[in-house]
Amino acid sequence: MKASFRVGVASFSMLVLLAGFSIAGCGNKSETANTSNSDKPIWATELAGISREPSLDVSELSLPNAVDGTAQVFKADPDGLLLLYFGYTSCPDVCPTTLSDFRVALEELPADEASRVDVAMATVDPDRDTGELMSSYLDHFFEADQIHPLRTEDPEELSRVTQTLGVQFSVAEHAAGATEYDVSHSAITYVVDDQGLVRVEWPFGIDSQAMASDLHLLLSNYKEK
Amino acid sequence: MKAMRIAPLAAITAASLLLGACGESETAEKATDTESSASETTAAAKSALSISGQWARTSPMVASAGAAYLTIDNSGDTDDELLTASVDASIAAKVELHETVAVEGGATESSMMPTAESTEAPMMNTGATGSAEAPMMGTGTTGAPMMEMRPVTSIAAPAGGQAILKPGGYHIMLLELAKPLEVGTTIEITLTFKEAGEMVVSVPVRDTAP
Repeated sequence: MKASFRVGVASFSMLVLLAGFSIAGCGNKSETANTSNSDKPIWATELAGISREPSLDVSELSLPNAVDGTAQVFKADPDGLLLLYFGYTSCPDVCPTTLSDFRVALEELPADEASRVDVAMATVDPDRDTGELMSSYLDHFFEADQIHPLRTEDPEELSRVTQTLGVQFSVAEHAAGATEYDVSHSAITYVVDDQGLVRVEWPFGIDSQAMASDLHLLLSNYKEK
Repeated sequence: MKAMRIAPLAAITAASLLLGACGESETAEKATDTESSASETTAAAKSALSISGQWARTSPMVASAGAAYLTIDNSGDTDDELLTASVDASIAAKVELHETVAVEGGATESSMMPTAESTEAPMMNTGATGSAEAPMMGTGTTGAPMMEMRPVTSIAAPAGGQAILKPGGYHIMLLELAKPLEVGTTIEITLTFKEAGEMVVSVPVRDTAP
């Protein structure tokens, strides 16, 4: 009992710290400069994710925006980065884990860097995921001007994109209008630069600190050019 | 005489609820009526389970499903198993135990195979900060493994061991949410174990893992 009490106290203070941390970060989607902490992350000098050699060029690929249908080319804004993820909104475990890790990573970055990162989520489950659903889903995690919900009802259009990237997914057969069926998908994030090159890929489970570090590294490289 | 015995139990329950608010607690025994809570306490003592690190993820307004995670420590010498989890209908209509597993890309529809022999789901590159040697990388030609969710019939909490429910592994899946899970709120989840019986855990809703 004594032992577990001590554990409780230790975790409690840790939680207080964490709570303070997450209040500072989580609830607040607005831009906050990372100036408060003296022990700011020491940025790594190498990418934590996986890089292909040569980088995969996805600049010729695009998918329609789920809301207005305009083509979203797989290319970041100048000097920016685009996080490209394939998932679905009825996903309770893997997708929200990844998206909330993105958010934590963005909060780790200085505001001027975080604002240069956009998030595109393409649905592999267009039957259930409407444009409206996807927007509000992404809006839960990110700023409205930062998100790109992508959706196509044309399976061939989707598979052209997924095959190039190596994304795999399978949607269980279901009747029209069905609300519960299984979806599997590879949960890799593709970090695309302003030339449409995939600079790094994050497997599921990579932590938000590593994401932040990679983003910082890639964003800093732009300046040096 | 009876009142005397109830008092410490109530105190323990209160204490655990208090800790529970901070997301880290000993298991709160169900104390709705004294008779059943007394017997449950004995059962719990036998396999000596404690729950820690419990949290449920905030759910986007539009999400119909949510997930909760926790760690079960079994300090006793009897193997136990988490059989079911349940919540009040005001939270979600259905609760299932699920496991997310990575399956090799290109695999055909795998059958629903409940596997609960390991306490941790096989996962790619868990927690690692990633490296070029990550097993996830594969050859790049066959495509990336897919994350697939499977319902499981139970989750083992072996004697002297633990069962870890965490993102990308085992989780308690809340289906048909009555309303979004909002940060700062707490939900009660009743866990039913094969040996220890029922335990009610107070689960804080958070944006990220504690």
